Amino acid sequence: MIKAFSAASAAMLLTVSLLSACSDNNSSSSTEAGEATPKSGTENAEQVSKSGFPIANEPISLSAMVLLSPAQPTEWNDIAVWQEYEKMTGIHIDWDEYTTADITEKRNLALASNELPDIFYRTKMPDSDVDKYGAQGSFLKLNDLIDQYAPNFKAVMEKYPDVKKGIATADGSIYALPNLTDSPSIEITKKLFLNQDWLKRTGKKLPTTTDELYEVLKAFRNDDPNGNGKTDEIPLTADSLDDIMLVLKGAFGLGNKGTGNGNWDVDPDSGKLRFFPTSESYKELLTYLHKLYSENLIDQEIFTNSGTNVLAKNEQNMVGSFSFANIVARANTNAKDFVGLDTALSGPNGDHLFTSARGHFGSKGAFMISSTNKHPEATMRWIDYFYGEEGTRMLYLGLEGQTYQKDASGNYDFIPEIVSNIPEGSSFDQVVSKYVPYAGGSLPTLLLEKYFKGGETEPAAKAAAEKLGPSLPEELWAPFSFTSEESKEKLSLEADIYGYVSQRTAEFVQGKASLDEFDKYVEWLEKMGLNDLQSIYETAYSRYTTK
Amino acid sequence: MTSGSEGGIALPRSIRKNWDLYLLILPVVIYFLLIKYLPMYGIQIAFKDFSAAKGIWGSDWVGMKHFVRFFNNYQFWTLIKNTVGISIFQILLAFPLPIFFALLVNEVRGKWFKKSVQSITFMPHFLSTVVLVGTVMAFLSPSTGLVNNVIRAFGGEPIYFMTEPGMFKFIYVFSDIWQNMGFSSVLYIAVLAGIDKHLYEAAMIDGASKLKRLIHIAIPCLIPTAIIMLIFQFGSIMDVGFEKIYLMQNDLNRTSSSVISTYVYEIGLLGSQYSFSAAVGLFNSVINFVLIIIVNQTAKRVGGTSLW
Repeated sequence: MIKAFSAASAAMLLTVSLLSACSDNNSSSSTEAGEATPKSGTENAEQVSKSGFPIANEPISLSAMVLLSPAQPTEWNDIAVWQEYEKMTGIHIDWDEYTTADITEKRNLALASNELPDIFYRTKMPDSDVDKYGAQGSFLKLNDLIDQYAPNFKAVMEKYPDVKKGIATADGSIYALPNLTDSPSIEITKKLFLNQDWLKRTGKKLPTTTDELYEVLKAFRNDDPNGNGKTDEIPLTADSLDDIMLVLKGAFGLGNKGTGNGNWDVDPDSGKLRFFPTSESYKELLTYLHKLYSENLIDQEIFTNSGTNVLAKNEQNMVGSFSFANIVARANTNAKDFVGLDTALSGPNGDHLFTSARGHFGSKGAFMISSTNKHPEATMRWIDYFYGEEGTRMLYLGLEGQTYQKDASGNYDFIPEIVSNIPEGSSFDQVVSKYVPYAGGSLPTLLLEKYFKGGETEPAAKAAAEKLGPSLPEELWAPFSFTSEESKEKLSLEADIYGYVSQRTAEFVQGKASLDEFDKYVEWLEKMGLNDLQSIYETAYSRYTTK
Repeated sequence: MTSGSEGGIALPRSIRKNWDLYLLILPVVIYFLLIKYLPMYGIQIAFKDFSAAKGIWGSDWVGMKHFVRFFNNYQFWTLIKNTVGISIFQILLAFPLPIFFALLVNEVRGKWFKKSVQSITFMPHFLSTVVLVGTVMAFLSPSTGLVNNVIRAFGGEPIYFMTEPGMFKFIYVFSDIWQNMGFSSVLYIAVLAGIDKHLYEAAMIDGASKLKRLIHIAIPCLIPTAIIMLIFQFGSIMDVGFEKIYLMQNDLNRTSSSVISTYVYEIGLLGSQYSFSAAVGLFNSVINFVLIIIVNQTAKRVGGTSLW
């Protein structure tokens, strides 16, 4: 009997703990929702000041979901800027920090279950989700709030026409505040960097055409420029094949409106919207890339490569050239060896264009206010500060006197005590992330080049961007907007079509598929519904041009 | 099982009588209700256009739309072929090996040697998938990998294993065998250890050789367990491990590495098309369900062993 009783009580215990685990979950989520709802919305509008600080007369607490960069402290409120900003505004933010690996899943779960944080702050929200969940009512429509409470953002919209064109959804609603940049070096997303030390050793000059590039790469492969007696040189590498294609496709006339809408641009002959992976020029690009790959001029591991691999190969002085946004993130000890192109490469048909560039939009959905947010006015005022110059400076440099200073010639930089002694084993980003939250990028703000101290604004990367500047497309598109009906159909078409394009592209370059099959590949894409996708894009494009 | 007619009165009485046993099983029942059955109401989104704002109940019914879309998808047959292909290959190779291994270990006399062999083969099971795939990729790398260095040492051309679609199945299954053979054999070793020693003694007295004893005692004793395990394997034939395949996937091996689970992940969670991925998942489960019933019935008829 005693045995039976103890077994039963063990079973009881188990049951109870199971049940309590369940109810625990429920209670915590309900308090989370409850915390942010001390007052109703209308009452609050009166307590929010229209300008100046503090924003709220009584302390407000908001919950926010955010993507955590590996360089940052795991508690976002440990970052000095947020503590200071809380004092200034009287608004406390409860950050829910998620890593890159988790953020997409957590964000989608929050949206699908409709248990929303008050704010989505840098959550890698895709454009299609902004439109979709905006139309479904998960996000607040911001048009009136911007008008009344966001003077800085309004000024930004006036200043940059592509921002105004790109910000609203198909019906003119604004559901998200974007990540914006005003910096050529950042807007030129990928650049080609060559090893000038190797150029000297092989007696080559910086290439100006794709043919010259081919010759340079061949010399890198044959002449043992790293001088170790082995043919272990990798003439051209990158994180992925995509990155290599980005810096070369301009020379083939592809992507002539920038990267704002992925693989869509305008056909130079007909002036119509075009999906360029089906064009003849794309076939030429693939032919060129296949030639490079089959002659061992492109990293043979390009299809499974990663940033850390590029960095490791650079450490062993094995790399002749690579494509990335900046040098320092992909080359460490030999970073000084690398230099950007003097001018954009000219292609076989005389195209002289560099198209790995976007407009001022970094990402569209950097900041969203949930429909369950009880303090939309205060939230809008809270974020608007960062679209002004003062706020941007605070995000990227911190607090004057404490973390940054202005020198005699008007340049801003971190104070030496902070950045001069970076401890062994930590990075620059890790050190400054104690004070400023910019690591990881894509913040809802307008980034100005003079305040940003990262890889892209290092002299070599900046110089590379300046030299490419004249060869950029005249117009750089902002991402188009789609109605929710359009984007539903578009999403399901794109998933298959884009997947097939990248699969076949890899096969063509590697040589598993012969380029004679290119027509079959185009035909297959049409079977998959490319024409339907084209007409969706055309509708969006005509809306974009008439805006 | 009591029949329905007497159940009405008899059941409560039997509960009162054996209340402690019922209490004992209660946590399991609750677990299954909460974790396995309750979420099933979400299956309905496979037949709806799920919208977060409207909720699961409120979303509009669309019938078989998502299923039709999946069946008409250009990848449909590739997905099925890859999923079933990898699973069958896995069952053919990875299923008999642990049995074979258990028989070998069982014959080993030296206790110390037996234990160390078991521990060494057992250990890789505890590696996480990410680490395992990282290791496999490092070993197979065309420039620095051990395997290709050996090939090069013998004058061969390095093979780029990870981007070769034809190799995918082999890499997947052999790395799985390397990782899990020791662990899977534990069950069989336990069964073999449990065989009545008298059987062996009787056989020895009758003059049966080692091989005879293996064929007539050890293997027949293993068969019922092996069949149950086989039924389990067939029941999950459509679920090849998502994590490992996803980590090993790249653009070039996609033709042989896209399986239903990776497709559901890409379309559903990343592309947030919940209804469509629910439909694909449901289709998957139905096939598994049918398969497990067929295999179970066959096993019952042929071998007399079955799950139920």
